[in-house]
Amino acid sequence: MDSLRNPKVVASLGALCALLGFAAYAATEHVVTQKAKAFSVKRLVVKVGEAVKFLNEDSFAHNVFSLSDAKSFDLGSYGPGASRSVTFDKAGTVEVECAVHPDMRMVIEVVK
Amino acid sequence: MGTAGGGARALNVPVVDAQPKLAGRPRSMGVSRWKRDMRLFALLMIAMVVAVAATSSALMWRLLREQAVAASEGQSRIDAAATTRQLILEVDRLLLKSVALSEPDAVRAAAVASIAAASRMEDAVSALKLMLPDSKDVERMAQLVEQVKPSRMRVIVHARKGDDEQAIATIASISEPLRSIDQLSVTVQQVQVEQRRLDAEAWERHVRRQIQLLLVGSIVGLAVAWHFYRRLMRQLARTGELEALLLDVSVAARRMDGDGAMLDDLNHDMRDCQARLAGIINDLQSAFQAMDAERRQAVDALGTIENACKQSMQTSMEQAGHACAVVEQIRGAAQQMHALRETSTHLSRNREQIVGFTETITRISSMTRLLSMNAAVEAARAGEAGKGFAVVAQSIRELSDQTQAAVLEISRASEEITLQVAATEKTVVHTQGLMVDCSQRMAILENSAQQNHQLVDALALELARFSAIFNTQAKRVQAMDVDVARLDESLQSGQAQVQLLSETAASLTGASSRMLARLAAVTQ
Repeated sequence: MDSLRNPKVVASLGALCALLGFAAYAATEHVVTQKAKAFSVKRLVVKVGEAVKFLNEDSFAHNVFSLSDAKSFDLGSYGPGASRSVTFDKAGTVEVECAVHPDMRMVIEVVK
Repeated sequence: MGTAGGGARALNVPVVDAQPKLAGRPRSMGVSRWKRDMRLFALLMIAMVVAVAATSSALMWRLLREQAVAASEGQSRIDAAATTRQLILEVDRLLLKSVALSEPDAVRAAAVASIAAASRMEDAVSALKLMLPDSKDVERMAQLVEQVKPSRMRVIVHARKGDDEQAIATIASISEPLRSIDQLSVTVQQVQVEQRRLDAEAWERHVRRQIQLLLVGSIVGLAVAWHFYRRLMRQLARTGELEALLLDVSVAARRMDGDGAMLDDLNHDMRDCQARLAGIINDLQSAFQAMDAERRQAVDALGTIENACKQSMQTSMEQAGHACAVVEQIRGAAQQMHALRETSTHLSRNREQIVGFTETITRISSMTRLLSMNAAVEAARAGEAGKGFAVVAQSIRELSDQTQAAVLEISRASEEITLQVAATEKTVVHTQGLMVDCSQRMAILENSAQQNHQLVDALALELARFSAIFNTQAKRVQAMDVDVARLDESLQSGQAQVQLLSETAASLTGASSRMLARLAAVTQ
């Protein structure tokens, strides 16, 4: 308890927490934008357990989904400025599409 | 040539002002006040009409917009509810289709189509939520849509895997929620239809009320308009005068325009006339100069003729004098001829005497000869004593012969003298006759010379008179030349005035055109 009163200790713990938080944040979520009826990246590599945030920067709605064995999901329709997140908890190749715009495709490689 | 009249404006024509000042202060104030009142009245009328029209239009527009928006929103809600129902059925159908199909690509296509239909359904429900944020049915619909989403994906996964039983079971598990969504859509649709009916009734009441208000407003507006109309009619009574005035001004302006054009044409003609007049003046002056030169030549010729007449008269006088002298000489010669005739007559008489003497001498000579012969005979008879007497007789005979010869010569000479005297007498007579004739002719010549002298005298008088008349004519021509010079000066002055007239005509035409333009703008 006395060590907790040491300012240096407190500062070090705080920095460590921040770093861990940032690392955790940086390690757990990727951001992919939808702009001009296309994904911002065509191929993305994530680790198992990490999440991908799909951000709609178009002026109309998108509906991102995937029917891959590694991860099947349907984010539903979300409008301009809205976002949906998906956590990939299984290794494999996930083909991501848009139900509204059939030409929008990308691939997410989930690695261990 | 005379100079132009200094370019001075003989005509004091004022420049036409495009904006003539009004005459008299009270009159201008009255017209200005009237114009102000008219303007105010017109503005009030316009403002009232615009206000009524704007208010009516705004109200109607608001009503129509509200009605249209309400109708549109109601219809959108109904359409969204209907779309939701359709899409519910579509999703269900596609899910079943994905289960029914066996081809992987076809299953995938059906699955993607079902996801797309579900996406549109979510959009329709989201639209309904926006349009009916307070509707619990719509809220419930949204929740059910989210609720069935994972089950839908499971159906797709099972269908892709070929696990039809699981897929059908999952479909069965979501059939109730889908039915609920459908029912809720129907409810929302019915509610919206009812709402639309109620809205239509409310709108009809609202429109009726608005129409009543507009009617009241129109009546009030009509009353105000009638009041304004009455005032306007009173004001317009004065516009009749103004219209008449404008008409008169228009007529005057047109007349001015026409007069300006006529003035311009007249000015044109005057310029032409002046040009022709100037040409004629130039010709006249040239002619006057030529006439003056010819006059001088004529005067010189008249002087020469006069001198010649004088000389002729003098010569005639001299000739008459010479003729008189000749006549005198002829008379003298005639007298001398007469004396010569008398002399020849006397000579003839003397010749007769000489003839007598020659006859006497001849007789004497014959007697002598006879005597000599007798002497000779006697001498012969006397013999030797008579030889000396014979010689004397011989000498007397020779002398008688000589005398006879001399008498013959004298007779011959006398005859010649007689012939010559006769010839001379004849010649003298002829000459006398000629001289008489010549004298007569000279007398005639003298008369002719005198007549000629008289004629020349008369000619000189006539020439003098002609010269006087000619000089008078020349003075008149000079006076005409002076008049022509004055005419030229007047012409120059006229040209300046023509120029001024042209400017005045142009000013009149411009002023009339401006007036007509303003009148046209006012009367339109």
